[in-house]
Amino acid sequence: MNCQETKERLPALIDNELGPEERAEVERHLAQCEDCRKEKTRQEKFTTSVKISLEGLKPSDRFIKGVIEKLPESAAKEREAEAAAARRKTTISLIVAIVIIVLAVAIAVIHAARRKEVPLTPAPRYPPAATVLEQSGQVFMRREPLPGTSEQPRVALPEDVPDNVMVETGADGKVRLTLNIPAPYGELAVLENSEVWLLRKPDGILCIKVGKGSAKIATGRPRVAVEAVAGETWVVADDGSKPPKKESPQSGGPSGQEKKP
Amino acid sequence: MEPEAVSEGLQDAALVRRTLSGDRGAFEELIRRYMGAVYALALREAPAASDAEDIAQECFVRAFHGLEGLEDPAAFRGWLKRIAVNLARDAARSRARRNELGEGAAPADGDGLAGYEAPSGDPSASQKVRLAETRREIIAAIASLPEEYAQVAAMKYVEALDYAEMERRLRISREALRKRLHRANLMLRRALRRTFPELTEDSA
Repeated sequence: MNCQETKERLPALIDNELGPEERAEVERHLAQCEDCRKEKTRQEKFTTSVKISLEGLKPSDRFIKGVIEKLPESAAKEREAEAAAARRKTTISLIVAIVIIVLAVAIAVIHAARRKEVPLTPAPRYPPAATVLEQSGQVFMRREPLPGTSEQPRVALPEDVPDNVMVETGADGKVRLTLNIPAPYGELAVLENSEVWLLRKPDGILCIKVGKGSAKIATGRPRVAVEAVAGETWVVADDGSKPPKKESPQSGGPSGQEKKP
Repeated sequence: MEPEAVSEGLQDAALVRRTLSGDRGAFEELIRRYMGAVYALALREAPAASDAEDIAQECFVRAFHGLEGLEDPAAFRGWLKRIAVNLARDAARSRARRNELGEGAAPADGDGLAGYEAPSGDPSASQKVRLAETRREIIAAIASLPEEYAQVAAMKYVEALDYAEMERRLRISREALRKRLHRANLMLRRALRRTFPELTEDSA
């Protein structure tokens, strides 16, 4: 062991913090090096002087506890609350995910249902109890279920339901039909014992075909109402300004897209 | 800066992050790492140990609250030192103002750097003054060392910790600790050459 290595170990030697082997090595060097022995004496005196001078000065045993006690509970609680909020967020996300899954399943079920015949609630003879529920932006024509009659008219929907047709199942379990047509508002009344098909022509335009009985189709402004009878197909003008137009069988109509109820 | 000091900065950063995530144990570890150095800084300005302890504790409380604003968690040590220095100086200033107004109470005997009571014997008044002065000089010397040396010197001389505990708190090897203590000793002896003229010969 050289002088530098020895001197580096002197504080540890003096503090009695050297292992037996290292201690023996340091002492062997000290036995033959006067310079290091003098340094050892100086370091020893220094250590002793400082330790004696600072005796009893160390911070109290309660130092750390004192700090922790001074940290406001609120800080801990705030962090706990944040953690709880994060947990809540996770729970909400989970619930939202479940709701989305349930809705997806419900939509799939409805979609499957409307490929077949969708029974609608009985309608009065005329006028229909169609209610405009929303008028902001696009206009919806909503057919409300009506209680009281025994016969159920039917609406048949195409396999490929037009984008502007919405089918909802209400809390009452009845099916509601909503036509989203570019008109201030509109109505579709399916009369008793009647069947109506919503069809989409090859050009994508929605049309309504009455398969059995009759239906009342109305636009908003200008309000034009027509009664469509079995075998007739009607389209509603895209800009809503024109009355429903009867399609002649020669014009091609929706026959290619028709789906029998 | 020693390589260990760099990794200690990273250790500090990890402890800071754990504290911010609500881990009180991590903050206690930060306290253990720096309480000696912070306390020495406080002692340098406050004549009474109890005052110094209050200041040091307040320093950690403030650090806890300010932790979120600390941009570089690896620079915790320097940041904490600035808080400690500012707090200690504020305390010294307000004490000076109180003294000017004649409101200051004399520190209790045997408390901190003022009214030093020798551990044994019955020293005369002049001896007491001399010992208190020595104490003050040692503390000032420790507090003025570069941070990593002040930290280890405070652990050894102020907190009177053994090497195993120092290793635990600093998370460094015995070898690194020994080297650091050796350097801290040399620096301290140089800083205290007027206090201990007989020990000034530096052969390192």
